[in-house]
Amino acid sequence: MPREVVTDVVCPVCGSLCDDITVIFGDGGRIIEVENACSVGASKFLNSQSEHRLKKPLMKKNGSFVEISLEKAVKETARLLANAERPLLYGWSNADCDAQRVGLELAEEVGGIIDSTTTICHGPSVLATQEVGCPTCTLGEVKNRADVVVYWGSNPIHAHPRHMSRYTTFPRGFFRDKGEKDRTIIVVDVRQTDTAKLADYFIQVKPGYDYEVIAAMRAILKGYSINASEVGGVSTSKIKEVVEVMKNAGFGALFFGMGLTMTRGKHRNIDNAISLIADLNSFSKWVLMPMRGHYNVSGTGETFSWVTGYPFAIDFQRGFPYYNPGETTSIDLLMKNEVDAALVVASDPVSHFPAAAVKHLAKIPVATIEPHPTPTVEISKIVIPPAIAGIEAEGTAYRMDHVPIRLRKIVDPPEGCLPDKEILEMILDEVRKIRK
Amino acid sequence: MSKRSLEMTLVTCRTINQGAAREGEKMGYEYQRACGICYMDYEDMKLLDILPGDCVLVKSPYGEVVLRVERSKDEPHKGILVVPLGPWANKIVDPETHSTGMPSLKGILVTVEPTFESIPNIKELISAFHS
Repeated sequence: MPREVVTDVVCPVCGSLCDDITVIFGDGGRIIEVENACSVGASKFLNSQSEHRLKKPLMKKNGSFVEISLEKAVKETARLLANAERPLLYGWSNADCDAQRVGLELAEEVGGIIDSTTTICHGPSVLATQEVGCPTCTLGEVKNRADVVVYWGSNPIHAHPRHMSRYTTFPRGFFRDKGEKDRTIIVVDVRQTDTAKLADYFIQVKPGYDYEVIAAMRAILKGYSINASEVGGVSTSKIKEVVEVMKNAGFGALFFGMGLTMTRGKHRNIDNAISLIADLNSFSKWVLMPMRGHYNVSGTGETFSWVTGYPFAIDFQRGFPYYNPGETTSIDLLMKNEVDAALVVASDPVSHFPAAAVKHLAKIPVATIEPHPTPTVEISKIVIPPAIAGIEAEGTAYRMDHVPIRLRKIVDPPEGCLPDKEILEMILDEVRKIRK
Repeated sequence: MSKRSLEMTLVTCRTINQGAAREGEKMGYEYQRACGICYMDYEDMKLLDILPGDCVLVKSPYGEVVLRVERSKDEPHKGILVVPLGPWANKIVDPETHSTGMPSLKGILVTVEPTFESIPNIKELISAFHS
């Protein structure tokens, strides 16, 4: 049998959105091989057709799931949301932008809170950006121009496995035709990660002391002397050495991850990092970029912002969009037992929220739109399996540098599985009928 | 097992195995194998007198969980306990967001002690939410 080969597929896994994936189909349209993808990307493509994949809508009765029709699942979900006083619509980062837009309409219709996974990844980065801006660029510019690259609190070898090879470190660029030999890599982390092992300079900072090290760098840049032999576990001489490299860059790019956003200081760490980049621009050209995790988490920020003016944690209960992180963010709402129903789309909060927050989620009725069995599916009352965006459905996603990329449909979904957008439109129609 | 214990700083992390298992079968054993573990500096393992593959009970003010120990490839990081993000780590992280929306998933003080208890599987973790 001739094998069908589909090239230039976009990988719907992480914020790198690699667009050079080759998928090879065997008999019966089964994906048998994935080329160019990292092991995480390959796992998503191969598991899209696995035996454990959900194919029919489910509803929990007496503690066990029973199969129901899509129409009934939609009606039950609509009833659950329409009858709730404070519903939370969470997830969205593994869905395409059109689905996110319908999600916003649905949130407005039910007067709920809509929040994305930004809330537990780069939410603090968004807060800092709103305070001090964000000098940034596209990954193409980094590839073609950057001669100094800093990864701070980020381990792309594990979290964004092809980031260094496609965009920052190893590729030959227009002005960096020797690739890696033309670039200096600096890694700042609490341990010598696999990324740090590839670096020219590794700064091992004590956990929770990133802010101090950034502040020391800014002080040195401004010509102040540091009256201490070490800052945050890093010798002052090492900090001075690295600052000198950063000052003399032709084009520098700083990528930061959860090491800055999840640790002590949170948005203040990012605020200080952005200010460091602003200071460095007095000497050279510098940019920075958050290492976004889910493939379309940047898209949630874009879609939510152009529709409501706010990037995440948007509360529609007042009849207009209201945004106040710390009050309208998912973890805070769950910790205060404030929400009384939830719709989870393309996400798994039970696996990724602190257990204390999940406890409340497990007590309230939850409807989930999700193709695979996950811990969130296990606690749900209603489950609707969709077509997987980027494999079984088209859509638009934003790469971590906010470049929109069209996702491709390369295989038909299981019979009866519709794209997220169509399922959400059906729920929205049903909610409008109930509320009429 | 003796009553040895060690104060450590918990740092959650991403690993490629956790990522691949996350995109695979989350309710299966692979996910537990990828996330129900902790990476420890060899010096800390010597202090606790444990070997790779042994289990430890990790306690924080927010909960406790049993994890399998692996020797870290990222040494030295004495005093730092590295745990992949997932339902196991979530039992011991700090839900406080300090009004940012982001819980504190790194830099949490924990106590680590050897144990003969077994690692909870994903279904046991989920059923604990209902209790």
